[in-house]
Amino acid sequence: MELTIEHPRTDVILVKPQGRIDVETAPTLRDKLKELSQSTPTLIVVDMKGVEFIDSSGLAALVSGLKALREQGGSISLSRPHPQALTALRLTLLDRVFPIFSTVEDAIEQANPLLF
Amino acid sequence: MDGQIASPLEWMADAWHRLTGGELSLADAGSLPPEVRASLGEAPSAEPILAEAYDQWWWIVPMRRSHGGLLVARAQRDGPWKALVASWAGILDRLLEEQAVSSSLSEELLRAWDRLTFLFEILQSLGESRNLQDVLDKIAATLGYLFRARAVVLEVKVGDRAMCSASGAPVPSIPAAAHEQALAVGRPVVLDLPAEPGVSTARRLVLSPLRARSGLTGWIAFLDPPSESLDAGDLQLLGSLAEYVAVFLEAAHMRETRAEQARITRELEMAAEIQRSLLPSRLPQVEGLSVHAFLRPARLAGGDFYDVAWGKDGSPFILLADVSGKGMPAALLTAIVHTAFHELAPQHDNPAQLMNALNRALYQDLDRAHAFVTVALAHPRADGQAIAYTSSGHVQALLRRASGELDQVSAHGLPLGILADESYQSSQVALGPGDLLLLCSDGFIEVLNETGRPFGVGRLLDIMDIAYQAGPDELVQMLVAGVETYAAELPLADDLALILISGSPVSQPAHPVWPFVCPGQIGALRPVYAEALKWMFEHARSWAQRQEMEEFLFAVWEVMKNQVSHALQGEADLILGRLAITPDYFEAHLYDRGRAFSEPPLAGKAPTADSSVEGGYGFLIVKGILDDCHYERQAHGRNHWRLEKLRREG
Repeated sequence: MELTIEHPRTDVILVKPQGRIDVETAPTLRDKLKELSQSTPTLIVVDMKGVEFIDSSGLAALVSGLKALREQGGSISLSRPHPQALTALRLTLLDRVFPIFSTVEDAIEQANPLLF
Repeated sequence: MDGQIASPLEWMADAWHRLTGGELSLADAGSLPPEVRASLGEAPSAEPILAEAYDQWWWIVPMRRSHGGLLVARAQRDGPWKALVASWAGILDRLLEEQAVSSSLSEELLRAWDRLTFLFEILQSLGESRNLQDVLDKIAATLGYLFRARAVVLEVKVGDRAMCSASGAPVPSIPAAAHEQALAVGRPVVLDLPAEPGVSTARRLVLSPLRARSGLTGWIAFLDPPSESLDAGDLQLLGSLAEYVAVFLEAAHMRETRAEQARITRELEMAAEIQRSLLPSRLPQVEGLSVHAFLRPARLAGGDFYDVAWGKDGSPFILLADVSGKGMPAALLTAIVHTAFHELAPQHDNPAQLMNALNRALYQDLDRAHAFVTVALAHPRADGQAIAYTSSGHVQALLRRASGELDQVSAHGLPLGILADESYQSSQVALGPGDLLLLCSDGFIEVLNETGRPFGVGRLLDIMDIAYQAGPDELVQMLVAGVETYAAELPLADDLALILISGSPVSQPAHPVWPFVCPGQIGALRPVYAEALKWMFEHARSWAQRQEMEEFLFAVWEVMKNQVSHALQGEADLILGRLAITPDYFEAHLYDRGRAFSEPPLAGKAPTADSSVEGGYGFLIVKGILDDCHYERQAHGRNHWRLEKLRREG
């Protein structure tokens, strides 16, 4: 899994993982999200477009990132998940925890959530 | 005056005499008359100085290249000689300079020549010598001759070998502390030894340490080397000689090791060739049965082999044997057993009687060689309905019924060659369709993983459970793959040999099945997942079916992850599995021999925003995707999972 970080706005960080977020790579994502939460964004958008597979370890990484960010008053949104990721989010009810958007722009603007 | 300037000086003196009637020579100031010396002054200039004394005109030029040296030219009469004297002094100066350079060069050349000679001789001795001791002796002799020391001693240690060579006079004992000192300093040290009774002169010892990358250490000791050859430069030369010697000795040692290895390899190749030539060219065809065999020696030639010979009743005897030992001795024993087996089989129609005969025939040879042989012997009846079986101390045969039950095959006796009058018993086994009789060598059962845990019979049975449906060929491959995966990077210490007899018709699976062996490591899951996905997709007829398969494998992934992290906990063990695609559902059976799950597996609580509930998410995923998930802790420490997902996309 590769991670690309962008700053589309001063208060938004866009994280683009590429590949599989599974038991092997989840710690990298978790650590990155925790590190990013120490800066002062109000929102991290994780763009799931390049994520071909996410397992329970990957989900746990997202949740622990969210927890760290919430302590700083921020939140995490997801954009463009594949059906597999959507299934994983749905089965674990995490689709109620993470706002999910069909475009990165919507996620940044927090407009038009996919599932709400 | 010597060397190159002697003849020009003579020539100049001769010319000078004819010009001036006087004499010309090189001298120092001390040899000049005081009056003349006084005119030289404090700092002699490079210019010729003229002085008059004893009715002669003295032209004097200091020589730059010679300390205090002067060119002294006396003339009987005054004349314009200044320029001539100056130019001759210049010529002599240049000649002196060249001579100085060339004399120091020749010294260097001589040393280099000695060194080259030394290297050449050592190289030559390397080429001629068969072993390290030879090389050592040659080096000691060459050094003795080269350094004119009273004695030269060489000692080396490489691995657990220690060797020594000496040339010259008997050597007094060298204090151990001196060796350590030389090795610690890393360059030659000079030691004065205490005088010994009967030895009048004081003894001086130069110790040069030897050290090479391969771990070779040692030292060269020179006893009483000529005292003039002990300045700093000579010690440096000794140090570099010691470096050369260390490299040469290392090369000789490696050459010796390589030669020994090559000899062993040649012998093993020959032994392997003997064993290969003894293997049956084909396996017997018996109605109602199918016979498969596998053999892989751990080294080139091991002690395991299988063989086939026909009995009095026309039915084959199928033999799997393990002779003690490895390499050539084992290969020769194999040949003896093979010969006896082929000679005796046609006289018998019962494996116990044949085993008795084999033991009687081989007992003396085996006893003399302190060797023994374990043999498993199967004799199927011509109609394939029953197999008579006996064993002389061989690994217990495994009989797996098509139903999955395990039956005992009771037959045991001592290995051949232990007791001359051992009496063996046969037992009868009936093989129905799909039943499997597995005879295997101890290499399968005793193979160890990284943590030293043996593979055991249990894992063999697990592999039979996952692969029996895929057919005997596939089963044999899986058994071998399982053992190899279990041993991981470790080389197999023992041979792998097996005979698999299946009752036919081998039940063909009604639907596609895919057995697999997965190392119990997190990093090994991905490749297996990718292969599983590829296999399932081969049976997909629509995109929707693919999505269903992907979802099913997502659940399998979560369970296998759980097996690795909770049951095996990082131990180098296996997950064995079988996937099946039936018309109605996808199915997975997963086995491991790790810790039992104390709570209901994947026990999940509703997830909260807390990172410690990974297992909880896994549980929700598995539960959400599968229609049935059953876990059972089975007898003999086996975890078994059965996963099922009903197919919705037709």
